[in-house]
This record gives sequence, C-alpha cells and structure tokens, in this order.
Amino acid sequence: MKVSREAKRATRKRIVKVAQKLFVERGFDATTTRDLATSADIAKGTLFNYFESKEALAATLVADALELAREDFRGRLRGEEDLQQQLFLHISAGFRRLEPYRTFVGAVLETALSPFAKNGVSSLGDELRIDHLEVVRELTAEQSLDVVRLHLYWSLYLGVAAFWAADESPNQEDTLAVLDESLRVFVLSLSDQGGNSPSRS
Amino acid sequence: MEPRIADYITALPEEANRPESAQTELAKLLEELAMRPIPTGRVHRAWSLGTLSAKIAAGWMTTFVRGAFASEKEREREQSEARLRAALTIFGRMGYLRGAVMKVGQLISNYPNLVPRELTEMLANLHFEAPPMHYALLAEHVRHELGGDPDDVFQSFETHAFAAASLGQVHRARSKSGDELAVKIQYPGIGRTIQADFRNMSLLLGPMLLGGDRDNLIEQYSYVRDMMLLELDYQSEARFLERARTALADIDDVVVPRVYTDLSTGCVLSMERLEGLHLAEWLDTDPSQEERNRIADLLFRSTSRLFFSERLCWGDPHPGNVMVLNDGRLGLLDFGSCRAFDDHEWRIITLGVYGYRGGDEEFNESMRVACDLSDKQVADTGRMKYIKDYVSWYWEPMDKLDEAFDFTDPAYIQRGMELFGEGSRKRYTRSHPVNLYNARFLYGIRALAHMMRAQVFVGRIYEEELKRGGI
Ligand SMILES: Nc1ncnc2c1ncn2[C@@H]1O[C@H](COP(=O)(O)OP(=O)(O)O)[C@@H](O)[C@H]1O
Repeated sequence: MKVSREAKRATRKRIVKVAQKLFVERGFDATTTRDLATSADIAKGTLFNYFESKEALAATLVADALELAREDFRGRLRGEEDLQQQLFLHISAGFRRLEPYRTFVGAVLETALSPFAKNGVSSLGDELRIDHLEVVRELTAEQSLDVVRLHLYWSLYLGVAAFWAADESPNQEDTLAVLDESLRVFVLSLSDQGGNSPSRS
Repeated sequence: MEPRIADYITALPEEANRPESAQTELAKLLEELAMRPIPTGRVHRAWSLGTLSAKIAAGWMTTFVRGAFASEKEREREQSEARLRAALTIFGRMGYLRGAVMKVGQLISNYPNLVPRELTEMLANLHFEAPPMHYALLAEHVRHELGGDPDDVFQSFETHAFAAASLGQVHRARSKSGDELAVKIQYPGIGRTIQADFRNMSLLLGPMLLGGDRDNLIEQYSYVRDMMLLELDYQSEARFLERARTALADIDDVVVPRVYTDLSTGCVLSMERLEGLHLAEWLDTDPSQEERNRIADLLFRSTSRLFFSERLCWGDPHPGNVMVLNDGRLGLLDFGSCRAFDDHEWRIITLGVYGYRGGDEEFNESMRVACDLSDKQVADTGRMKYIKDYVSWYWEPMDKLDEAFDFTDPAYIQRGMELFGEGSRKRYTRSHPVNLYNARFLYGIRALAHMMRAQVFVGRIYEEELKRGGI
C-alpha cells in the first residue's frame, strides 16, 4: 500500500504531538520508543521511518519551539533596546518556549548541539545553530561578527543553555544572572574590535 | 611600574602590629558598620574589575589583622592567616561589594602611608551594590516571580528605573486597580549569593575569632551580619512596613507606604508610591522654621511610637529614607533593616530608662545588666562615669517637658560623636549588641533633626510615648 504524502505528514505530526505529551508528562528518560509508537498508533518500526532516535524526536520538538520563539522575540521588541538587551530577549524568548522541555533539553544539547559534533552529523542541529546565529548576525550587523566572535557567542550560548537545563535555584534566577553576565562579556568583546562601543541603559 | 603589595605592607605603620591596637580597630569597625549610613545615591557605575586594588586592600587587611595573632603560637598564627587569606579572597570576589573594595584599594594606592584607622573608616562604609538591570532581564525576572510580564501583571510599568536600591532598583508602575506604585526589584539571585558568601566568611573567620576576650566581638559580628542579611528579604521588609503602617495609623500626617502583597515576593516589593521630595531636596526649598519644626516633630513622634509601643527600631534613619510629600505629610521609607526587639533585648533597653531615672545604686545595677559588665568593671569609676555621661547625653533633650530642644547647635551632635569615639578608644564598647541598633537609631534621628535645624519638644513627645508604651 502506498502511503500518500498527506498521510505521511499527518503521521509525523501525530508522533511529534504524542512525544511532546509523553516527554513532559512521564519524562524523557521514562518514555520508550515503544510507548511513543503505541500512543501514536503505529508500529515501532514505522516510528524509525520518521525519526532515527528518541533524541532526534526531542531535537525536533526543540527546533519547533525555537521557531515559535523567534516569532515571539520579534513581537516583544519595542524598538528601544540596545544590542545587549536584544540578545537577551532573543535567548530568553527561547527559554520561555523551551520551559516545558527543560528536563530533556540536556539530551538535545548532548546530541544535536554538542560543540564536539562534526558539521553535518546532525542536520537538525546544524539548522538550529544556523537559524539562531542568523538572528545574532542580523542584530550585530553593524559590528559584522568575525569567526572568533561568532564562536565566542555560540560557546556562551551553549554554556548558558546547559546551565539553565540543570539550574535548581528558585525560579532559575541564577540562569538570569549567568545570561546577563555572559551577554555583558560578549558585548564588551565587540567593543574591543574598535567598532561601536555598545551603550548600556 | 605598578606598586607591589609588599611595598605597601612595608609602609604599614608599626603600631598596627600591636595586638591591642588591631583588636580595638576591629571592635570599632564592627560598631561603625552598624552605624553605617546606607547611601541612596544613584551611583550605579558599571561593574568593572579592579583586581589589583582588591589585592592591595586584601594585603593590607591581612597585615592589619595579623597583629591580632602576634602573641599566638607560630603554627596557630599561620593557620589563622591561611583562613584569613581565604576569607579575603571571597571578600575580593564579592561583586556587590566591589565598588567599596575598589574605593579602599584606590585610596591606599594614592596614600600608601594611610593609617589603619582610616582604612577601617572606609570599610565601615561598605554597602551592597547590585549591577543595573535592563528591562529585558527585569521582565524575565518579574515573570518568574509574579507569574507574568510586567505589562500583564501591572496596568503599566516604566521600563527605566527612577531610583537605585542597594540590591536592585525601583520602578514606577500602576496597578490594575489604578494605584500608583513603586516596585523595588532585586538583581536575580543576589540575596542567595550574599548569604552564601557570608556563610563562608563565618566558617573561615569563626574559629579564628574564638576564644578569650573575643567572644563579645563574635557576638557583635553576628549581630552586624544578621542586620545586613535582614535587608535581603523583601518579605521581611514588607511585614515591617505593614506593622509600622498599622502602628502609625492614628498619627495624622505620617505615611508609611502600603504593601501590595499580591505583587510582592522575597525579591520584588510593590508599594504605594509616595510623591514628594527627599529630606535634603526639601530643605533646599528653604522651608520655614515652623515647617521644619513640624516635620521634625512628626519624625520624633512616629519613630518613638514605633520604638516604645511596637518595640520596633527603624534601623536606618538616613535623609534618603525620609520624604516630605507634596501634600505636606511626612513619608518614611525603607524598613529593610528594621529590628523588632525580643523580650530580653527589650529588658535591656528599659533598664536603661529606669536606670537613668533612679539613683546611683540603681544606675550601676541596671548598667551592669545592660552593658554586660563584670563586678570589676562596675567598680571601675572611669568606666561608670563614661557610661553616665553617655546616658546623660542621651536624655538631655528629653529633660524639659515644656521647652523645645534646639538641634541647630552642632555642639550637641558632636559631643555625642565624641562620646561614642571615646567609648571605642577606651574599649568600653563591650556591651549587649542591641545597643548598636539603639545607637545607630539614636544618632540618626538626632542628626536628621540637626540637619533640619529644628526645635522639637522632645521631652513631651518621649514622656507621652513612654507612657503609651507602658514604661
Ligand atoms: N514607596 C516609595 N515611594 C517612592 N519612592 C520610593 C519608595 N520606595 C523606594 N523609593 C525610592 O527608592 C529609593 C531606594 O529605596 P530603599 O527602600 O531605600 O532601597 P534599599 O533597599 O536600598 O534600602 C528611595 O530612596 C526612594 O527614592
């Protein structure tokens, strides 16, 4: 039986939805691929036609959330923010959307987003990184980021994300402080280039 | 060439190495910390690292405190020093004290011959200083604390702060019900950071300070620490604000801001916003003698009501915490370092009152308890005379019931300061730590009255308020 493209898309959507529900309710580790298949009403083998692993599924959830977050971010801009604030808004919009997935973001960081992953190993991870950095490039257009600053930014971002995923302080207030300080460091590093010195409000 | 720490250490005056001196200085430092005015200035300079300055300051402090252990066995001394160095490293890393540490460092760089006394005076002015928050950070913080963005939780919220607070900043806002608010917000996590640092400091310094005559110092250190830690919890400040508000409800023309509990947490404090001028600004408008007297009268009336009827000490009588509102009422701000006396502390305070009213015998007896004196110390006439002078200074403005006391003359305040200094110099400072609070409050209020060049019927006010408090 030939499966139509329409039906494929519907199945994929169903799996993502089920994963979202189960990961949040039962936890990422406690959810098996069998659970996912059963809940999505498909055979376990079929599941792997769509997603090569549980981690890949998680990465998809994260990618979807971050796409929504980018829209949120643009909506939240008031037009009066300086660079540091814009970068802060961008990242924190992502954390807001990822909040329900906080417990398994670590798994995604380890697989799809690991700085040790070679380019091309996880295409989804590459996409995530490129989309994120695209926004950063746009925001820092005046400074035209070189490879060094871009890497500095990405390292700081991954570091903050990892901290956030494991942050046990009340309301994750420490993440806010770490993010604030990290962006301060990053923006200061830009002013070293002899470009515009960033202003602070 | 950059100066080396060792150069400064060599320049350290000999005197600092005598244990007597170092310990007196430490005692004095603690007392001055207790009296420290908390600047409300808007000096929110960017956080920059001044490691060299911090190192120099630390080097000096090491040497300075080393004096305290000169008499001990070499090994113990070395252990103490190692602990001290660790403590100073923590101290140097306390970002929220960085401004203060740098100030000390800079001063020392400029004046390498500085004597420790001046150094301790600088240290006594330490105050917390949080980095500024931009709106994006603040919005995120508020969302976590109050469950929604500022724009959702409040009817409106100004993105820029209108005042700096020691642990954060203050924003204008309007509540959903249309009330004008001042919202004080702490930098995320700063309270826990400070607590952890103080805990570490105590762990390191605790065993070092233990033993012999140092018990009293420890007690005072703990008191100062508790006092500073109290400022971290806005929920505790909110409770004090509410208590004070209720207690002062029937004094017309005095306002303590109402707290909006639904919009407050341990690190967000939403209050009714008072509109008017800070005391210094108000005095710049050249108010009449009558007006100045009226405001000073309200200040004495309200704070002594809190003191004697509520057993509540408004801990920080500072011109930045007093406002004259546009409608002429007096506004009291900042109940962060308020102290509620417990029964034991209250007994010590009332003993002071009874002691003054009674004869010599009764005086000595009550001071024995209040100042925690030994028989030998009670027999020391110099010490007892000093205490008597101090207590008389305290009561002087209250002596006349139907005459206003004129605070215009600086001599009175100066005499108080000298008495305070004499007590430190002669090491008469051993007393129950509650007296630190009391003294800070006392000098503070009177210094404000002096600043206002006010004439106040202090005697009458105290007489009435003592009676009201059942003393
Ligand atoms: N309820 C209020 N109404 C108006 N201004 C206020 C209010 N509370 C605080 N402020 C302003 O904020 C400043 C700092 O507040 P304060 O409570 O003294 O902070 P801190 O936590 O540093 O003690 C005050 O000096 C005042 O200018």
